[in-house]
Amino acid sequence: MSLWVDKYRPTQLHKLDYHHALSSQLKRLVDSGDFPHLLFFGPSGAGKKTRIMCTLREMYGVGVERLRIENINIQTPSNKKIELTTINSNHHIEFNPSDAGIYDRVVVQEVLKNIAQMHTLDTGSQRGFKVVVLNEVDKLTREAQHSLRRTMEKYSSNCRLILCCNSTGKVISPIRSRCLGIRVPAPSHEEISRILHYVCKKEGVVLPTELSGRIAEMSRRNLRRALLMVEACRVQQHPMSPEQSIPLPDWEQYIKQTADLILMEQSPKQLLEVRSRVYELMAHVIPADVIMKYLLEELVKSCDGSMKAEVITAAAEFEHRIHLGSKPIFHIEAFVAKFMSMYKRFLEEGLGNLQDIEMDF
Amino acid sequence: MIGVGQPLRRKRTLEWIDSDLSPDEDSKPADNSMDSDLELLNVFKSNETKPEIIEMKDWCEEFKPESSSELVGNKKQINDLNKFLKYCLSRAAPSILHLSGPPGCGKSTALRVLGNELEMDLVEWNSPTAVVTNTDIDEDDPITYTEGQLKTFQLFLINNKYSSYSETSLELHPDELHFKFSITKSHTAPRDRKKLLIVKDIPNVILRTPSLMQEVLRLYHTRGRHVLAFVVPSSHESSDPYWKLFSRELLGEFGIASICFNAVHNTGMSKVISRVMLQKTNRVDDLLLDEVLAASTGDLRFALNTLHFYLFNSTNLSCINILNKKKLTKRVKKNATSLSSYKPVPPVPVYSSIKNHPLSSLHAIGKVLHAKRKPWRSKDVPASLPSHLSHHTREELQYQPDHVFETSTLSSDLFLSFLHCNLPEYSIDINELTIACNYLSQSDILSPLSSRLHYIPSHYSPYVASIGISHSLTQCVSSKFTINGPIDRQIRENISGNQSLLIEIARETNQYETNHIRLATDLLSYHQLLPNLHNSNRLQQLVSCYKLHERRFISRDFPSLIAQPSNFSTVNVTSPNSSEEEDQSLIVEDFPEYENW
Repeated sequence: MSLWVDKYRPTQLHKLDYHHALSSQLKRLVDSGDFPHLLFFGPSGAGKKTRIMCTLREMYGVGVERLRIENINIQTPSNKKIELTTINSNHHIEFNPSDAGIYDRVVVQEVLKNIAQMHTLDTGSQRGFKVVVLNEVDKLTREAQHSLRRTMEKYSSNCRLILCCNSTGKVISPIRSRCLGIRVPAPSHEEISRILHYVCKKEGVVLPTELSGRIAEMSRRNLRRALLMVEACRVQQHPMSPEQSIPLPDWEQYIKQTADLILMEQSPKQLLEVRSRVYELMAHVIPADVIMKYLLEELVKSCDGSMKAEVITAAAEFEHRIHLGSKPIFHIEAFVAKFMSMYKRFLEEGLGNLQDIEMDF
Repeated sequence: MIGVGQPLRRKRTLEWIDSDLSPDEDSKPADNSMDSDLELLNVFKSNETKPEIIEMKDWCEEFKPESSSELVGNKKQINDLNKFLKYCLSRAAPSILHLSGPPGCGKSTALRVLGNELEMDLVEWNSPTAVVTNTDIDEDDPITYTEGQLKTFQLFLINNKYSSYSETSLELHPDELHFKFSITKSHTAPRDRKKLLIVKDIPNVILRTPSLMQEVLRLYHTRGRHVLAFVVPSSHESSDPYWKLFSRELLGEFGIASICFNAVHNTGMSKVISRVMLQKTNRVDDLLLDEVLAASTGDLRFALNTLHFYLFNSTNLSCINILNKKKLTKRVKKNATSLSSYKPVPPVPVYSSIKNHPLSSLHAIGKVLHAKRKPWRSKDVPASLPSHLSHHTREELQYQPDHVFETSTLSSDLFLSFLHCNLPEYSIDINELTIACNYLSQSDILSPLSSRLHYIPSHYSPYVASIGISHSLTQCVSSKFTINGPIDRQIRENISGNQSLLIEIARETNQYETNHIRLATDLLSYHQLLPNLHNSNRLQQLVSCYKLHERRFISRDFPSLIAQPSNFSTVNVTSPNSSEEEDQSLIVEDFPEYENW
């Protein structure tokens, strides 16, 4: 039994539910026979991966859907062995180079070289090139991105790259200029609730319109999350009611509680408490920048206008530092401490004002 | 020995081993070189009523052998050593010796005994504990800080080419150099006596950059005249700094003689222990003997200290023990087992081949977090800062903050982790803590930068951290002196363990989703849905391993997938060491268990 997210994932371009203009563009691209390197970008849960797979399907036919998982072993120049999981079909290979951590450069080079040097014996196949799908290009180190740039040029004759990332901001510009950028925007609330209704209908479940609206809103326009939420609602309560609570991802709840802790007390002791919670989140592979983002969102809610700007500036700086440095916890903590001192000052001022008013009386 | 020398030597040797424990205040800075066994003893001592113990002498010293015939174990090596020293005496050129072996096997003792028998002057190098400053405040002299350790070390080596200490003082006034050798002055000794320079405690600077060693040795080779002996605890870890330092090439290049001692064998140990026991209690307690033997694994010094502690602890009982033997044996057992658990398992990991290294590192951390400042002197309040900077005014630090990192053996990464781990507990004001955290965060950015940009030296980041933190924390927590070890590495291991777990889950779910982060943030965070995911038992197992929703910080439910907590955690916590540092004592606690968080 698979999840609804996977069960109802469209596999063909014409079955995609939204961004029809984009779909037809991709269709035309495929029909033209060849295509440049592609760079899909957009927020998570917008359907980048679905579109990539649909495009491949359009190009190579059902053969693309016969996937197998392979483990490749790569040896770095320093004799360290890296194991990497790839998903292959006869026509394409997909992997996540940032899994290799600091060795991503080696991985990118080696895998691409192997693929590009393997010429397809099957001359009957439609295309003369293979496709490599690279996920999370924005998580790659700078060195890896530069080596990727060179490899792209070198093997462009018999291999095409499809890169996938959330934001192009962290992709170096030489790569951006070598690719056709395709932006996949997040679906609107209406689109999401339409899809939710469609899925529920297929499943034979009644979805109250109110609930679907709320889910669409809470999902932050992330379709994958919205579908997961609906399914979670369904598991929670069988005939779904319009006012039932929508389960949040547990780590989000946890971050919420953490933010409450910060607002409750501003002291070094509380910082220790927060630290242990951040550690826990990180130990469960929640990325540091995600923690930062959600924490900020929660904290900003209880700030007034001028302080909001200050807090967000601080957050932006420390988020940037997370990427520069090697120990994310330092920066998250520095942000929390900074917020605590700002908030404390804010509270004290508020208290002072109150006292002034009382004095006036 | 000549007849006159007898009482003199007695005194000298006393000084020799025990300069740190002597009541002389001047030798205080030497506590860095104190052997951890002595520290261990100190712990025990501090548990007891003090005055009594101070009267008692350390048994290691009391029963130390006076002649080569009394030396136990390592017959062949001692013979070699004897030959070597004799050979050195016969020639004028400088000679260098590398003496290695497990702790407590009698390396230094053998060296001392043989050196004395061959009538050499023994001079020992003590690494200055980074910061020795002029203590009297009234003096108008500006505070002079010590030279870098390296410089001092070089001076030590060169100056001793003169046969007497007084001559060196003509060239370099000892007051200018605030370091001390526990030099054994002997006025009666003729000028041409050879000296035996003993280096047990190699300066950290050299440990960190082994290339400096060559430089130093080259210097000694050209300008030295005496016998230089490095006494180094051995371990067979490749990560051991000493092992790296005395590489085969180095030994070859400078023609360094290398003698390796073995741990003392059991017969030798029991011989000594029973002799001591006989002398102290007039009887030999076989049970205790066995326990001590088992606990000390060939470490004679540890054995004697254990014995001392035990016997001292139960001196009152020992009168009764003939009557009430059963009770005693019970007690012995209890005690001995508790002792054997004290015995630091032969230190394995990273930097701890010398037992007291972690301690000096912890001192460094403590110095940063608990920066001691000099009170204002009324005469010279420094030129006040402009008004917009006035909040940065601080009293002068007692230590040069950039020297602090030098004294620790920690890598800069570990140093930062240590600071980070302990920072919040040392601060009471959130505003100060904010500034300190900001400095930490900055120093973290610097460390990867320094690997890329050559103009940022790698020690820059710990410097920024230590200076920044000691600057920003003004209000000291007076009662808090515990230092916890960082759990950074464990977290990292947990992350990677969880990552591989997630990758495996992704593989098992057989979807085309390899992105483990997405799995963590989206899919697996809906625990309500997890039952739907269970295609296979294996997957069920995996998912139940991941269980975020139980909210147990780094759960122990990761039986096979999570790497065992690194043995690093045992490094700094080998034993409850304690050391009195004027008003400050650092108690090394066991690492926090995660449940306590």
